Amino acid sequence: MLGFEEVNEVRVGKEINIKMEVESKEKAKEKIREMCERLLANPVIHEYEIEILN
Amino acid sequence: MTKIGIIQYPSSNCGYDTQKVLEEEIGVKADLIWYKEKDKVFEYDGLVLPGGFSYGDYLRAGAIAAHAPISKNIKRLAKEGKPILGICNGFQVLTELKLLPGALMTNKTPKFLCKHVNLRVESTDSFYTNKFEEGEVISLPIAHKEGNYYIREKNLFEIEKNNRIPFKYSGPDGEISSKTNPNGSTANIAATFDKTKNVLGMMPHPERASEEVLKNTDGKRILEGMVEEAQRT
Repeated sequence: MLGFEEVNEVRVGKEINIKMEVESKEKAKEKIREMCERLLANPVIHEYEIEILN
Repeated sequence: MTKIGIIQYPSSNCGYDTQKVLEEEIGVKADLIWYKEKDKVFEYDGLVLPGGFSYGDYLRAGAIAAHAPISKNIKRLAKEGKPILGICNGFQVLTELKLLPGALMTNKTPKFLCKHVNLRVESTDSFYTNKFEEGEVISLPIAHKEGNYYIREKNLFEIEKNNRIPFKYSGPDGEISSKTNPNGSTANIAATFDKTKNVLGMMPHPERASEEVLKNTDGKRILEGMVEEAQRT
């Protein structure tokens, strides 16, 4: 494909950036996990990863 | 007097068609309920969640509507056993509300599909489908881009076993294969019931095939079944 012979697989996903104020990174992760379960992802069809940037 | 409520989320757009068929073809009182009038749903004997693009399909079709305060009340009525029919976007909302199993993903060919499809009647054991013969092939229009029904294998087994699949996409003679599957749905599933079969979600549009002038009234039998149940309860 376009000469990039090393590519085996391509996947497109959705990225949601969230800015929030919480006391700790752990708390941020916990809150975002809850958001994912309740709205942002549909656990029937989606997998998700949470990454804390700073 | 029996009354059917038709939920209007922002950008639901098949409510008026549904109201017209219920009132003029079936002869039952049917009102549109704006999503902000959340307690009004309790005045009704049955509810329709019509097609459209609630909340502009932002995030995922049906996802935001499932969190609107009115939806909590719809869930309560569903648990009380009231007939609740979700058509197209309404089906998507009912899966997001977790009243129905599975989810609706983008069509296998990611295009908006707008056409008539054949459906084989799989289960006549409900008030929605008791006017059909088992194995009968009917025709209804579909109009969706996210109609690819997905359900996990163990849940598929459960709904198959309990006759919770009323309609499957088929060929004109009832054959069911990948060739007669318009959108990639698991096991050609076009509709599902909840456990007690008072909640039905379906991608095809029965309200668009309910008038003699359109030469197809297959959808009317589904709506009539629902109205009769609403009149009984």
